Amino acid sequence: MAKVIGIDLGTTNSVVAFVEGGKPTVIPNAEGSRLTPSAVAFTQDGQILVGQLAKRQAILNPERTILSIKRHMGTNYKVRIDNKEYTPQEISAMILRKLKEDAEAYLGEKIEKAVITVPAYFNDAQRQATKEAGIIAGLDVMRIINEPTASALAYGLDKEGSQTILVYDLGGGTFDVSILEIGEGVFEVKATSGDTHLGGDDYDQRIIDYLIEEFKKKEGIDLSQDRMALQRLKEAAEKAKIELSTLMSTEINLPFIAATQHGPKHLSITLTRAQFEAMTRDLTERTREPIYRALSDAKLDPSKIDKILLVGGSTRMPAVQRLVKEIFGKEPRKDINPDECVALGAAIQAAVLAGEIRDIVLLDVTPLSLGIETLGGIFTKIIERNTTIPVSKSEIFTTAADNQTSVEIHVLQGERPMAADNLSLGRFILDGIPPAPRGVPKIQVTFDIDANGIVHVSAKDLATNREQRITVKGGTGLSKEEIERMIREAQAHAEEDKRRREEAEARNQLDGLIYTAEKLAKDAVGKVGQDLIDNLNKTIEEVKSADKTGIDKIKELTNKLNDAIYKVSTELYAKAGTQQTSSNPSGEQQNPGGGTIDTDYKVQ
Amino acid sequence: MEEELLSEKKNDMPAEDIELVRRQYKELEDKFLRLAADFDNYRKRMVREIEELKDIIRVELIRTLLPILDDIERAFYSIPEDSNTNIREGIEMVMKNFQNWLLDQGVKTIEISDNVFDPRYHEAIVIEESKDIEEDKIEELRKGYLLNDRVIRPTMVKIIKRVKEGE
Repeated sequence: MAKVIGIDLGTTNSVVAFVEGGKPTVIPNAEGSRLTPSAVAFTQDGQILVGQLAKRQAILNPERTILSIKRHMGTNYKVRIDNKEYTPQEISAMILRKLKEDAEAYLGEKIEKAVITVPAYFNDAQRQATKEAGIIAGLDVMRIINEPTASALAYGLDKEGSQTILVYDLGGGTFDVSILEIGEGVFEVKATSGDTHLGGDDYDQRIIDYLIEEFKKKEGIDLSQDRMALQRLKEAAEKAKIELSTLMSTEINLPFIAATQHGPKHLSITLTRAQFEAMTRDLTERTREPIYRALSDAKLDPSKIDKILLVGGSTRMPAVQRLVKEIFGKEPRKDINPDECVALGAAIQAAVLAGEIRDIVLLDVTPLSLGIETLGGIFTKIIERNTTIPVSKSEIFTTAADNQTSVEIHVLQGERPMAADNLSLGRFILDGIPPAPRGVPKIQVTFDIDANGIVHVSAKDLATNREQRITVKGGTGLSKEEIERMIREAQAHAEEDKRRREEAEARNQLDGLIYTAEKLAKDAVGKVGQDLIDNLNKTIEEVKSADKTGIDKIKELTNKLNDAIYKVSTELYAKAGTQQTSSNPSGEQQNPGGGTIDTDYKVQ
Repeated sequence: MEEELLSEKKNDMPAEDIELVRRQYKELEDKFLRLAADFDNYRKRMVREIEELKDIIRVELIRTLLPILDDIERAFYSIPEDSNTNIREGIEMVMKNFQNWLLDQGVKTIEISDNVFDPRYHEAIVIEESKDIEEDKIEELRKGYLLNDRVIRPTMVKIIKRVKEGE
């Protein structure tokens, strides 16, 4: 079955998206951009250019470059090129064809079906023309849907029960307000309003005008007559606008913007957010009236609007968000990329119509990490939170002491680094491990979470194949609130937890070092001076009996013991000459080894 | 084999149930194959995309640095040739270092020597007419750059159109 796509056929820009694994994704065009300008050009030599390329040659070819054809959809308007007439749907089809072909190249598959969006205020003729454009482009148009409906779908509002929403869509050149009523998966447009000539480009122009004016005041030079300078101002203005959405002020530096007989002139202006908002206040305010008009047409009070969605790149401006918040007294939703929201919703609708969404296996995730307790009370995660299930993961552990014949597997769930702070799910013992030095046995611990969220944990001694297992039913049976609380607590305690874990790890390392030192003290007898061995033994005893609390104290003891080991091993190797290589007395191989009962350490 | 199994069970399972199970099996198999294929395609595309991503990140970085090179070049060309040569030479070295770094990155300058406007590589911002030229020509206003044949920034050009005497 071929892929289906969703297309936001915009006035200034168009976007195409598809659903993959249940999630909508935007498809970049052949030039690598996620937005394609809705521009078409007929070159003198008979080529048709669409998108960025059409815009680049627009000035050379103004009467053969078509911008904003969407404004003419459903009318008798014709574009006349070389004695041939084109309808708006034929021009739109050229844009759609490029989107389709670029999507095919990206996905490596043929695309036949699509959902295309239109403004909610489009009449039947305009919708019909849009559908025809799709057909001319070689697409089977499964449905024409309203842009605000697509946005609501992108936000998943169709699954949230009955509600009334307002979509505030401020794009590059047009402003649309729509009020929708959602119930039982049905979308009803209650009212629409807007301003067909208001958008982000107007905000850029205000900055450009300001820069030109300031420069004129200071230098007496009119930059508006210089095309190259204007181009630089335009780029700088857009950059400044974008920066002021996150910063309180931005510097605009355009050196060598003009030249006089007295030498080069530079433009350097700091623009604050407050200044920018003041010079564009009337633009932002122009969106207020259409909102009230839509509310009154729908006979609704602002308080009756359950949710407000911000769509269109210009809604990233803090002043716009403030205005909306001021009118409705609540935070608008803006978490989906406002440039892509409509196309993403169209892609979801396409996938639903094609039956793809139904075919999607709804995959669950583990809400909390799962793992076991290892030496020193450390929680070692085996399966990280948010892992998609069903899933199975194994890790190899080993013993902490010589001749240890059993290990206890303590299964836990949570996000805290220390085992004691997490939720215990159960414990079991694997015994019958053949006596061996610490670190030698290999015990494979496997966590398996099935599709129902049931956790199976097994431990297997790879030497004997002896195995024990436990099944934790309802291992993830925590309520949403409990899970959120556990995650919050992990964040709140992150600092102190980190310290405790570091201390536990340092202590494990010291234990490993003691083990190494004791072995060395035995092995070195007769090979190095007895005084060195005596010193080492003395240090071992000191370290063993010392109070091991606080990471600094542990590190000090570790250094002390390392020194004693170093003295012995240096002489040992000096005597052994070059024929023998190191047996690695450093202790890092033992990592968190040693310890009391059944603790283990990670080998890999 | 499948037939055999089904016929064995026929005794205790009505034909319509068998048909139902058969259909569900087919559906599940289809679902599974689709998911497996989706995932395989996803994996392949990810490998490709990660490769492309490296390029995109580099292109974006270089693109943001280009205006700074433009400014250095403007600074250099604004110093009269006969003025303090040490400053001029110093700025020239800064400019050359930057240009060489671009070359090391594989970035090439877009040439406009053939004088033909091509929207794939050029962006027209000014049009002029002239009687003194034989053919239409283009003039570079700001350099354009390529990385691996991909346009990082098109050359900004002025187009000079030839008009005949008396027009």
